[in-house]
Amino acid sequence: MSIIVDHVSYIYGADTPLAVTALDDICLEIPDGQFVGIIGHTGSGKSTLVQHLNGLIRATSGHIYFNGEDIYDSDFDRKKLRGRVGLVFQYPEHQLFEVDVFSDVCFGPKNLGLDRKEVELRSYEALRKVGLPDELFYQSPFELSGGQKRRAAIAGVLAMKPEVLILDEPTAGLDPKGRDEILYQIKQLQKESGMTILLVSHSMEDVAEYVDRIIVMNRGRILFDNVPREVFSRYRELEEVGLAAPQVTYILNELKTRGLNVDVNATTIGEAADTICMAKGHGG
Amino acid sequence: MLRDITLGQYYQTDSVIHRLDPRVKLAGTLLYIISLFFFQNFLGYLTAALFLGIVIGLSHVPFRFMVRGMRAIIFLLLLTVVFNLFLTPGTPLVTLWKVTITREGLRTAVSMAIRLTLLIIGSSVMTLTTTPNNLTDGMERGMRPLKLFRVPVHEVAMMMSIALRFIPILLEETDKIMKAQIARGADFESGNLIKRAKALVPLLVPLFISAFRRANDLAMAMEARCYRGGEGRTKMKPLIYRRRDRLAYLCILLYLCVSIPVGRLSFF
Repeated sequence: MSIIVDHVSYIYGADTPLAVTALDDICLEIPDGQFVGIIGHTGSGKSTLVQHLNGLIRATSGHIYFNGEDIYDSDFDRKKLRGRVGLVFQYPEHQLFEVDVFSDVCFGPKNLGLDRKEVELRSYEALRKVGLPDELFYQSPFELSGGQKRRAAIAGVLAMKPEVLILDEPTAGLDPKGRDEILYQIKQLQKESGMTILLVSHSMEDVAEYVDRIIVMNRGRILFDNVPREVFSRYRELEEVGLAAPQVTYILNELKTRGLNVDVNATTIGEAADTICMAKGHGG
Repeated sequence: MLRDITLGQYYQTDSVIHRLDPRVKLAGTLLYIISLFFFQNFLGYLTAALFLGIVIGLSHVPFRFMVRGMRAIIFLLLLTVVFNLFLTPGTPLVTLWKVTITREGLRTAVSMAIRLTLLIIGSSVMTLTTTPNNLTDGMERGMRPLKLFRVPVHEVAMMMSIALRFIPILLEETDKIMKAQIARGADFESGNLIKRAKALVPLLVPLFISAFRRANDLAMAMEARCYRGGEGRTKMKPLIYRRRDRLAYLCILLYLCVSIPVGRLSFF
């Protein structure tokens, strides 16, 4: 049970003078239950890649297998696939349209053809999961704050109970507190339900603490695909493509060159603090 | 899916036609369209098609782009043809069950089809070779005399340029919202008419909201830069006629002088 991306390429505007190769021969395997961060610069192809995974965009060449089935097969039910691979777009709050938050969240499960009770149950559950307070459920989605709208929109996809959840820049435009809250809740979700989660971001800082694996995209190709500490250790190369490792990596490397015996592979602030304390403790 | 609409879209390349003063292109297109309504025989349309062909050749815009704009009006075209074909009284040519195709009907239907096709492709040439900004600049200059009659020429031109500018933005937005709703299981493609119309609600509501938001932001940004309408406003790139523009006017005049008499010859 997994997603396999097999030599996928995609060209935007294939027969116009503005043809752009957005994806260039991508091969990937994403096993069940993994929390994957997809990192890349604007225009690196990360959003295009994730839109392939639920069949919204059809690859110019190559194949995608979901649980062993080719999603481009003529008898493959792509509509069902969209319920199993949930995709939360960038600025998902722009897709809200119903009169109240609850009905909006119901839209997804209702489209799956479930009965009303199940739809409402799932929607309620999803809204609780994203931490939206109960009193907002029956308000117009347009009266919520930015962060609340975003949660409501994420709930709209969660209510479909996807096996794979893809979030395209879920924290764009949020303040640091809102960002941390949303990322924390996504992590909780993954822990509780064992969902596969793909988090698209342009910031290493965002994903470092949460993900099991990082895929770095550059110009439509995969540059690195590894566990965070391995990827961050290549921070010089990351800089060359306009990305950066988290600040702790820089600090620890600087400390190391100044003679403090720290473990430069720490990826989170907590780990960094530990290794610095250890080094200080041993050193003097 | 929606990006196929070329009407009102600019094709970026460099050609003589692209470099022409927008006023020339506007006047030329207008005269060309008017000329189409003068023709009474097919020789006239042939001249117009020839003229159009030369202009398209000079414009370096691939022909399939012009034709792409046709897709949007194919329904209108068919409707016109069908109505003219069956509902024009005259000498009967063929009778199928209860409907009769007349000689006159066939003639009108074919000439209407040609006229519409030439008209749409002709105006596509203008929009494909002129940036929306240039186009409205040209319009503003061209309509200046109307100011005497208190027509708010600048404001109209500004509104038009904004409207044109928003077409690709809104199309992109539509595409995005559509995808987002499809990802939530929305189905825009199947079901009967009522079901499909209903399916558009999740698309149209967010689209309208985003259009209002964008309009609001734009108004704010313009006011923040002290925009107060056309009064005393100067241009960064004033329009000046050059040699090639005069030449183009001459070509248009020549076309009119040839095509209209030819198109009105009555021996056909």
